[in-house]
Amino acid sequence: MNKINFDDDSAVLIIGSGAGGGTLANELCQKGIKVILLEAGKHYSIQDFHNNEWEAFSQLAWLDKRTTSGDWRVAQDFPNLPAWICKTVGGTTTHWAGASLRIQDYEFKAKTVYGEIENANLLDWPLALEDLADYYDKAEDKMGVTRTHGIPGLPGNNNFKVMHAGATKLGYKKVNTGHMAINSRPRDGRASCMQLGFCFQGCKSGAKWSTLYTEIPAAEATGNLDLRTETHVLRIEHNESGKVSAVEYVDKDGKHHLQKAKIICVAGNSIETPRLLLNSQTSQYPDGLANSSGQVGRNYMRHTTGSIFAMFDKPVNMHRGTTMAGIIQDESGHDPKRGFAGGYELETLALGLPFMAAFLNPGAWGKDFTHALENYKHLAGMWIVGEDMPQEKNGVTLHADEKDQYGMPVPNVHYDDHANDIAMRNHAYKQGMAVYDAVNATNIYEVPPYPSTHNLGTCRMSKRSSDGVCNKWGQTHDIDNLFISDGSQFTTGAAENPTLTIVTLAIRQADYIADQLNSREL
Amino acid sequence: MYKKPISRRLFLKFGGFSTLTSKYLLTSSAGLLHALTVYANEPDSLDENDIKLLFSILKQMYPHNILNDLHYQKVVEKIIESSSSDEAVNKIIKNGISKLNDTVDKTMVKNTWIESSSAEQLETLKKISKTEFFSKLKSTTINTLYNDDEVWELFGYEGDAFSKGGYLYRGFNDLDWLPEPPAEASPKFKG
Repeated sequence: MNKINFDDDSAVLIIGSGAGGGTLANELCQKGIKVILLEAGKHYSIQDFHNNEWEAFSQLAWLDKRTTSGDWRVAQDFPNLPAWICKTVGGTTTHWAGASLRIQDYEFKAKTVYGEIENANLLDWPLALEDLADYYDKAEDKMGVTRTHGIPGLPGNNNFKVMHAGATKLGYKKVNTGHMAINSRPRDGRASCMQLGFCFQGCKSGAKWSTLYTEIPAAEATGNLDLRTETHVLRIEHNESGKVSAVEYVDKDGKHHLQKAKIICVAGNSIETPRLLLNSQTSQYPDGLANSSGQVGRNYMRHTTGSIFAMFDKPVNMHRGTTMAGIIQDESGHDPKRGFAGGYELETLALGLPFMAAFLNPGAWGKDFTHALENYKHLAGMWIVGEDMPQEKNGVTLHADEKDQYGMPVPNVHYDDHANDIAMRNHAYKQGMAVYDAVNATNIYEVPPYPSTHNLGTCRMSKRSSDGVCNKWGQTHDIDNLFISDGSQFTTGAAENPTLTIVTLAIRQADYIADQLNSREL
Repeated sequence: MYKKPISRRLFLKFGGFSTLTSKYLLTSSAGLLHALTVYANEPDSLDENDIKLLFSILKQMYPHNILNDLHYQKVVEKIIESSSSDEAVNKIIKNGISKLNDTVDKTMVKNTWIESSSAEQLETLKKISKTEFFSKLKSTTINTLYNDDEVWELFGYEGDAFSKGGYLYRGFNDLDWLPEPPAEASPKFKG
């Protein structure tokens, strides 16, 4: 039962219940503000999660049709699956690994620090690390990030032992079990990590932070939340003065509804958010909402990624324990001598046998492939996360002909690697291989990027309204009661896993929205 | 004739068959083939030779000495299932099989797939590796062969961990052939 009437236009309406939307909803509810939270996916509980890769994937992943273009290998291997993100209450916080790193000071000033880079649409963020410091602190406390607030680091698993031994032999210094939003001891009513090894499949012990069982129930407890699951938003409407006023959505029975609202915050992840703005075009906004800059859907970033897996004579059992069990941070600075701008992190990563088969080398067959798989027990793995260059041509557009089950144009995701991305990836492959070589790997595998889990930048924040879609609060330049509340806001990608920053920006945005409401600016 | 979904009966029979008689099947591939074809008796469905060929191709594409016919059988069953329930798939599989022998190098002495040497079979597979038929075999194998808990066990993947309490007390850090990382990099768990 809805708590708020369709014609009631006094609430804040948030689209998406993941890291951005779920956090924002709770923060606003705690301040006494009424919130309608629309989520396209179903409401599962921890008990519903599966310790099985394919079952969990069919349960949690966003599988509505998408198309791809561009020279990235994902378009070739997974033409209808550009992104590995989730459609469920809690969004991709059900699937994320938990790595929670602050963006570094220099990364907020990418254009200033890197200078002009050909074919890159670089920009400095309209805010600095010091503007976010207190909010990062709040986010880390909320999420229980290890190595902050006196929370001990997680114990390293076998996969980390291999990484640590190789990395230190190579001379790397910043190697540890990372800053993880996974309880290393019981905290905040949640248990400590059981070392299940199924972080990506929904954490069945609840040790990993997810809005599903933290922010959302906390928001519900205030009585201010109206959560509507299995609701797919088709359009955002505006009034004559150009302000947004309502959303049209389809519920699980296929019924269309129009819900009025005072403020609308879009947090559908970097593919759905611009798709919705573009699909909401009217005669007043012929290019879609908040798109006077023409930047809605552009500058799509996905991090420069790739994996390195290595085989050893003796067993590793990388699947045991946290998926991202450790990190090497020595390459995360900006050092142009390496032949590229920006930096990258190396983080352990393990896949189960089913997903190793799917991702090791998509399309591969034959002896080399089967040899790697049948030695599964002897494999160790790591993942590259590096800053990729924003490019105007990379992005999300509405497909000209193909429609989804609701009649809405499917999104096409275009991505071409930038020369800087390729140089960085090659460097990272080389370093990752050297790490495993240092501990006598018998075989080393360069694994191509998976469908993207870090989707960023398609409604970026900018100082000037001509360069981007929203300001430093996530408020769109064109429409002051329309906000971007997810990773689409990112001006540049930085080298860090983005969730902590998405949560940080959401907490900060909630303060801003509350202030604006109090001072009657909105 | 394609409308008839693969009978649940067919599938259930296979399931029961595999578990009940697996030991005997290993020693009797003729018995296995018979079991696979007995239910697949639609005019355009896959015949005994087709199924024999599929086994042979799959084992050449995804060779594993530690697996036996029963593991590949699940992939073959999956192909029969989708071929019986989907006309388009049926066409892809039937065409693929019928063209396979045409693709075998005619200059070679032996000229059917089954009679070709392993090296010749590999050459043939490379030639058809861009076909829809080949793609279908690949995707079916990836989603079936490596999603089988019997195969997991043989390869050392342990599957569900929650029901066993995770690995916190079951070897998540039992690797002993490399130095232990120091406590500041990897703190001990204090339960």
